[in-house]
Amino acid sequence: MSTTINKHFLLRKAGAVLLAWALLAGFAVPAAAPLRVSAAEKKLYSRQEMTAAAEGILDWCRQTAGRGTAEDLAGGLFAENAGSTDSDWFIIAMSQMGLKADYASYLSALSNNVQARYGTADRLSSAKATEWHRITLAALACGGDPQNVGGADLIADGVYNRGLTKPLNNQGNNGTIFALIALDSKNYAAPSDAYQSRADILQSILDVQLPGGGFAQLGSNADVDVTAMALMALAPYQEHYGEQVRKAVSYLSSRQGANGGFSSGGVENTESTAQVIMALTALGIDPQKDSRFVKDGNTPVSRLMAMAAPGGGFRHIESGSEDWMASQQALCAIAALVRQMDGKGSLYRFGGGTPVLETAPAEASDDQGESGSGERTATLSEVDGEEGSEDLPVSDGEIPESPSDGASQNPDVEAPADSPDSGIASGQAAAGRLALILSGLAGSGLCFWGGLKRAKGRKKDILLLVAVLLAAASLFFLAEPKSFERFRAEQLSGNASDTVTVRIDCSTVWANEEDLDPALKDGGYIPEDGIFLEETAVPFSEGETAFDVLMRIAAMEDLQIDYQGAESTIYGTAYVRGIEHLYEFSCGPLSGWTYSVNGEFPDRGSSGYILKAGDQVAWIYTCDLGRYTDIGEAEETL
Amino acid sequence: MRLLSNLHPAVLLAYIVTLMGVIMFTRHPIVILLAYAGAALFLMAVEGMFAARKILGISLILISLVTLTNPLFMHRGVTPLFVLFGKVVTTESLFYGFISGAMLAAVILWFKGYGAVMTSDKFLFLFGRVFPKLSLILSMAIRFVPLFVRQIRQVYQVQKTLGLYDSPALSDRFLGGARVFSAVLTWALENAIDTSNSMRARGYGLAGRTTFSLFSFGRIDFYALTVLAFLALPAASGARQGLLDFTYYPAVTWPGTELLDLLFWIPIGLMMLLPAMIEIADRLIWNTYRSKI
Repeated sequence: MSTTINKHFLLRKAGAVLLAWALLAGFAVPAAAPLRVSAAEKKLYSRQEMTAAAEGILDWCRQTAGRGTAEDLAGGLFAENAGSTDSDWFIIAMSQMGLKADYASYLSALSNNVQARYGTADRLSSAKATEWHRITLAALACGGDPQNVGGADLIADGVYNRGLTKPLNNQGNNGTIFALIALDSKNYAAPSDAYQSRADILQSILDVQLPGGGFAQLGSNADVDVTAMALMALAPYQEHYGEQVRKAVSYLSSRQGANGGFSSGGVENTESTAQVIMALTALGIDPQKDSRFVKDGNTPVSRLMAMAAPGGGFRHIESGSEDWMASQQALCAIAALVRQMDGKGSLYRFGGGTPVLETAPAEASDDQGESGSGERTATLSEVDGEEGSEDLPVSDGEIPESPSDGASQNPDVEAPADSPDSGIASGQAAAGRLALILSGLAGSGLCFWGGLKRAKGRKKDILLLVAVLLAAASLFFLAEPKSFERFRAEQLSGNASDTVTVRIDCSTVWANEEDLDPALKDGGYIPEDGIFLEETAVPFSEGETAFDVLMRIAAMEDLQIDYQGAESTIYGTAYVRGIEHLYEFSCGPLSGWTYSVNGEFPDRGSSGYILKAGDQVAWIYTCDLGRYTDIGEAEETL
Repeated sequence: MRLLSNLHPAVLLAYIVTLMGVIMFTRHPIVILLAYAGAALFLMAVEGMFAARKILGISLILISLVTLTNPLFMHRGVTPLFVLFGKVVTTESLFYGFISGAMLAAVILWFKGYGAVMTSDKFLFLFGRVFPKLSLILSMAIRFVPLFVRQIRQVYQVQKTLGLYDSPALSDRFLGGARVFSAVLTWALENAIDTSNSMRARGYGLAGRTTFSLFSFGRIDFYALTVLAFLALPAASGARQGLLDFTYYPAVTWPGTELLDLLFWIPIGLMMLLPAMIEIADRLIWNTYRSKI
């Protein structure tokens, strides 16, 4: 049977070549973002690698201090500074990881240290309750009893009765946070005559959560480290306070850089990344696998390990040298990861079962609820008046705070880590991918057409079937199916240097209750004050539109948004149909969503309005086509 | 078929109007599924299982098509499943699509079954005097489909003897079928012109032309209408009460049921299943009679 070189032959061959090229190029070459599966590229660190890194850190400690390579650090180098931040954290990490060392010697050194300090007027510290908390954890790590360390009851003096001397948050919120961590470390109970109960301390932590989900050391500038520590304190209660925990986790996810690391005070550093890793493991989230914390194939763990220096120690910042505190924090993070891989609990739990709240604290954040709160506030102001300035936390080796370089405690203003070009690059990559898919489709079509002409009988059917399947598969890839979690994670990724505020208000609905869709009214989908979202700060970078910011806050706060993309509306801008299940026409035929920027209503769709840093965006639901009487538009619109 | 065929056409019309009034104005899943079940059972009882499976298969394809396309433009609903084309696919939109498809399929099946009982002469009898031209056009349209099918079969058989369908490949058969179809289409156009000439010659469409039909309103028709009234009135009152309402968005809410609602649901169920029950009873009685011979 001779093969005639005719039209069909050429078609077949050309189609086959095109198909082969499309398959090779489209599926073998890694393209930037969506289609690529991150897990295939990102490196997962194993337990051996973790323990090897831990040993490396300890070797570096020996080397730096000029000790022998075989010295037992717990009984030797570390014991010399028992009861200080230089040593305690190392011991906690080593013990919780399961490394063998002479913890008994450390414990006795610790007891002596505590006993000596209890001889002074301030005992362990005048300003910082966290001294008690850290030594509690260190004592537990050595197998001691924090309620009797050198004769002192650290839980009483440092946690539930600390308020008698100074408020727990005298040094900042980490005081309250670590108080709860110390109390829950082995499920200690505060007696009924305690100054503060477990519920009080827990509530005071929840009360200081900022609207964006994060926590600040002082004031309202959210900080990654403090948020991570707060999450470790809230971890045992995450079922009861799932909403708050989730918001804090979303905040952390939104602060992750494209290289997987975290920053504090505008500087990306190891300690912040380590703290986040510890927090995630405490919550039961795998920092190497959870899609919320995988950015461009980088995880917090991969970033942490990238900070390891050849000598075994860890650098504080990318361009720095090996640092004692950074190595210490890295060891804690490694210990937390190893515990997670071993199926053990949080780094700061030493047994004793799940803590139970003695009394459920008040749910509303403005409701103090507990007795004695009035007195506490009085005490606070008293104390603040006397010793205001010196109690402000300074970067001198506190309980894990990243040493901020000087003044700026402004973690919201970050140095833009990755250039915004990444957005353009991924757009080009997506277009390229589309071209490859279409050419693959065309190639298979040509191939089959040429083949169809030649093949006989049943072979034609098989060819047709394969062609249809290939076309269906290509279309499937065009649709970019993904799980909802991954979709949210993708929306949250990206670095943003400025902020704008967003507010979502539908209170006009209650003025027109009779027109409201009964399913929404009875189902409780609309809050009583009509505010879906109070004024919240949203990370924002130059050139983004009001629509981009809405999408981002929706991903951060898990709001449902239904919209029509810009390409499918006649005006060329995106149209928001519904927010949180409140749709256009849900409250009468003239109802729908509109937005204002700094109080004025723009004349174009949200995806066509570029914001500036600091703008205040408000999404308002109108029941009367946006007329002045309804929502105060500048002029009547028809 | 005996009982249903012998009913007065007005009764049949009343029944189908009531049925459509219920099905097309509700989105309640139970009502729709009952309607579909009733239609399917009726078709199976009338045409037999083998012949009915083709139309039932098509109806299932229709339902799945509507189910899968609804999430493409309806993103409401509280339970997100996954994301396609950058938009969320929710369980509620899938469910709504399913019920919409089932409603479409139920209406189609009911009309098919209805067509088996309400023949064109009954139709003409009902509307001949009142809307002569309209009933004429409708009866011609109803006649056309079986005629077309018959012609296709004839052309197909001839083409087969000429050797058209010898290739086993599906795609070849498909192309062959397309060729036959285009031939029959040409024939149909010519046939239409012939038919209209013939009908005009015989005086169709003139005022005063009578049609002979033997339908009288008997006792059994009166009973049938009473039964229908007994089924329709509770349905109407239930509809006014809101028992036919159902919310899909933002979340599927099953309305609470009380015992009194049975007074509504039993008539609805009977309404949907009555033709099937009558048909099956008819067949059973027929088989019993035959076995006694």
